[in-house]
Amino acid sequence: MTKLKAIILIAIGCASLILNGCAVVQPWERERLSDPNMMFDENPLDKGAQLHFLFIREGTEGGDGSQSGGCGCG
Amino acid sequence: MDKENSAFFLKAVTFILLIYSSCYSQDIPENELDVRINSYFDNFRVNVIYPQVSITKKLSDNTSISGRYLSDIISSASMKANFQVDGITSATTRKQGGADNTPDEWRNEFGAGITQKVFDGILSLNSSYSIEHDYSSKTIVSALSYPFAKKNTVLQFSFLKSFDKVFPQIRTWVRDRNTTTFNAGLTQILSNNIITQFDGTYTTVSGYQLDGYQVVRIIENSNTYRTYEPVNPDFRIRRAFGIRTNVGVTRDFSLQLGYRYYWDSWDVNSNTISAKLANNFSPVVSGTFEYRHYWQTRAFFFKPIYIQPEQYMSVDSKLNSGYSDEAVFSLVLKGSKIYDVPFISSDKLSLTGSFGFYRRYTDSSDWFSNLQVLYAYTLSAGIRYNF
Repeated sequence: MTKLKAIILIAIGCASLILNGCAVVQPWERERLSDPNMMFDENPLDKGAQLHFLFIREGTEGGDGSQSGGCGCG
Repeated sequence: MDKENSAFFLKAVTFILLIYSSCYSQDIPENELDVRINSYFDNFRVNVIYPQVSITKKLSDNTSISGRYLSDIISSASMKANFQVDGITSATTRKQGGADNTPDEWRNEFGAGITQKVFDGILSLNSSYSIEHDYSSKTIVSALSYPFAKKNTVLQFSFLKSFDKVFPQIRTWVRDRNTTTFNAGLTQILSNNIITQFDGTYTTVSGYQLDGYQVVRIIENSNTYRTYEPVNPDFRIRRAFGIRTNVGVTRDFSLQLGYRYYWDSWDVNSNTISAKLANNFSPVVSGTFEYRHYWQTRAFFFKPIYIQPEQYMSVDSKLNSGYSDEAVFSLVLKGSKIYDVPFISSDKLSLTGSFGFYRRYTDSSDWFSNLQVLYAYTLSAGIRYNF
């Protein structure tokens, strides 16, 4: 089995477990999640500036996630 | 390592900003002006200042547009070494390129994008053009994010295509470098204080992928050596998979943990672990501390020293094996009427600042600096204004 297949299987497995195990959180229950400090990469420019020099000092890239939050607003 | 700073610094910015500015959010971006100045200084005598301006205008409830300008001003000691200069005055007849008092690289990048709401999802299209005296790049990115299950689950996809031209001043050739990136992500709310994200990236790169200013020295006898251009395989497949989870520990404090695995067709494998602490110190002051540890294997053709010419040769330290650590502190001060100061009394304004320290260890010395340990400092300051 290639590493790619292994990673995909692990990812699908983790995702299945998580998605099956979590309850739907209603919009009015997301006060904590709406805080900016709960967002992934709340400011794209901050994220870009940080990854900026890592890209040229290290030989790898990607898989760093994307901007997203849990409040339905970002 | 050390002069990839010109060509690849710009690639980093282009990719990252385009991917991150390709809206993954679940709402149309609001009107915002973001002005920032970032800087980087290391013990390999590389200094970089990169100011940037980004503006977003919401045209309607369903559409917004954005524009961006970024400048990279780079001074690199290793690049200077490639030019014949007066040893005392550094004088040269060249008008640019590192041997005079101008920056070694001065890159300008222009970007524009549009974000459109499509049913419950968000579709965005961004493009950029970047130019400097030895590198040019045209990039386009499309991205789609779509929520499910009352926005508890968000799927994200993006596609990036980049067409670059590389023409180092010390070479006579012009070479292409084309990149295609697919990215898929899933963000999932697990509870009212836990959210997690999976992210996978698949990238193919063809063409010239090394640093045209680096040289491979092969010693012929005890007193002389011959220099060669680095040579790389002209195709590379890069893959990465990451997971991050953010936990709201208390009302104001959160902890984010992350892991990423990367592997590519040049046999570079890496692992990254990270932790980020974020706290709201008051309604108007918040701060974060982030720690990151990274380690990687070397590319199959990398050698610190070559004893004879080989099919593929590179002395680029970022293809060497080693590890790195990074720590970043950042603060955000939100404007508020509680301040009796004209500028920051506006609640539409926020000020940001950060300081970072980076240390990288490689298993053999760098080709130019002859050092195994690189230390770097980063400083950033910015203003965000919602109008």
